[in-house]
Amino acid sequence: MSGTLIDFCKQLEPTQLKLPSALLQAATDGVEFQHHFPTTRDESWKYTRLGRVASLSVSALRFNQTAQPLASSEYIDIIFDTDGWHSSEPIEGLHIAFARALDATEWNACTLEGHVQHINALTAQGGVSIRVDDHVSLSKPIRIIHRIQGENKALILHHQLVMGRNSMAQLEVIFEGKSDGTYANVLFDFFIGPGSKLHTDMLQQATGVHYGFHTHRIYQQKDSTFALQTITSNTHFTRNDVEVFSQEEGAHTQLYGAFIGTENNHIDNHTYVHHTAPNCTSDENYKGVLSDKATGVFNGKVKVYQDAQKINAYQSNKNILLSDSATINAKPELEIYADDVKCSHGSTTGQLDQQALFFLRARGISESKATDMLIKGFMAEIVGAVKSSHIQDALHTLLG
Amino acid sequence: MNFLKTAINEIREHKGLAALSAKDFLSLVKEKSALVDLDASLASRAVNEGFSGGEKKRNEIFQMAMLEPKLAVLDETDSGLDIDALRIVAGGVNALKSKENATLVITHYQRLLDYIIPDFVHVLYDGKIVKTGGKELALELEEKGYDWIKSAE
Repeated sequence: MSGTLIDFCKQLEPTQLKLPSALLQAATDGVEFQHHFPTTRDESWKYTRLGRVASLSVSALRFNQTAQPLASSEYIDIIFDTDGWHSSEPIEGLHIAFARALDATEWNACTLEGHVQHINALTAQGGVSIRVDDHVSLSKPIRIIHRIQGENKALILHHQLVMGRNSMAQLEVIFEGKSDGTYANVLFDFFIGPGSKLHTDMLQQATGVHYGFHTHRIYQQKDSTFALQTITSNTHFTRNDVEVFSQEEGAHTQLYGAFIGTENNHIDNHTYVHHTAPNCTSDENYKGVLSDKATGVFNGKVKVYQDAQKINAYQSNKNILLSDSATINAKPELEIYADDVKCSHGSTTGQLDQQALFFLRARGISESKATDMLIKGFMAEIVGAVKSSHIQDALHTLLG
Repeated sequence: MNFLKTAINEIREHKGLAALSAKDFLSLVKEKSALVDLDASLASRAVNEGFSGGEKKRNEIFQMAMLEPKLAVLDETDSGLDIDALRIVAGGVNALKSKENATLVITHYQRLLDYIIPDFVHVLYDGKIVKTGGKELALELEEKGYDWIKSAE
């Protein structure tokens, strides 16, 4: 398949992913229904234009069923590169497979909504399927690296991670590399079984003219915990969709994010938490620092369904603009149908605190260093939530 | 604490000196915090978080001791201090006095000047220095108030 992305969508052939037929139908209808790309008249794309993306000329990367082996390290590594995919030997209690080999029943929980997700369903070139067995606590973190290189390539993947009962794992997802005119559409489904815990740190730092679309759908069962830290730095175009289905009692969700934009970067974070079960908690905290002509978008939505009593949902978004031409569009949303819940949301945008800046400069610290220190302090909450030492290091270099 | 280290190293860089090692920095902290009776645990707290008035002032003098500025302006350092804290703060200022630096103390009361003996006393009125004298001037002011200077103008 090649041509512009919009042609791509017109001649979509369903991939060999074994999607249940209902889902496949929905995806096909979805794309046919909107042969155009969404415009700023569509609510969820109000601040993000896709014109440039639609006219991208790309050819899709293909992957083999079997992975090339990787030497073992302190991580269980899975790498998607232009020359194929690579994987470390799994350890006990962990299964790694190519997603195309999945059983159709695995997809039953999936819903399909949205333009990016439709394209993914129909054209995904594969992905990795990870399963952690019941009562297993992984001794090593799993690390998935996407190396985006070259020109006019499309990387369309659909990953899946299934956690059994009472299992525990740590995951790192990394997007890196330098490319030109590339498109990535990576969808990740997480199924967190009863009593299981998953901690995920994600670093998006692919440079060059790269359009990255990331969808995360999280299905949480009873007493499960899911934490996601999304760090986006200096990417040309990034759109993150995180959708959480808090389906059973006692589930806890943590969504943290930090985005740093310079030049004319565009970074868009959309989150949607569905609280369908009672006695669940969610904690959301996104922070952005934008300079030059960078644009940021934050749209956080929490929906509490009628039977979901005793929900504790917290949402916060704070942004700092370092230049007059930087923009942020923030839209926190709450939709509550239950009557016994605690929900809060807030969003602030401002400049650096001049008094704090003066305090540091009065002590002989240069303006640029003082700015770095204040930003570091601002981001400390998010950085502190990151467990991956690799991503911590990257953040320390980034924040000076 | 972290910001002090950055500040010191920025100043050292300006002077063309090598950055301070962590060990040297800590021994400097120990030495200087003894000067103002500052508990070492105070130094590791975040700036001004949960500090009492006296602790804040002592912390400021401590920062001054660490940074060794050529000119320090202390604007009403005596406000909100109890007698003991006043003595400690003044003691710190006195200990830092040297031929290479100058300290400008702004105050309204003689009390602080019992501890910090000034070399010169200037009276600032309406944006201008209207009278200059030695330490006796401050005593005279304490006795007569400011009115006689204003009327002399």
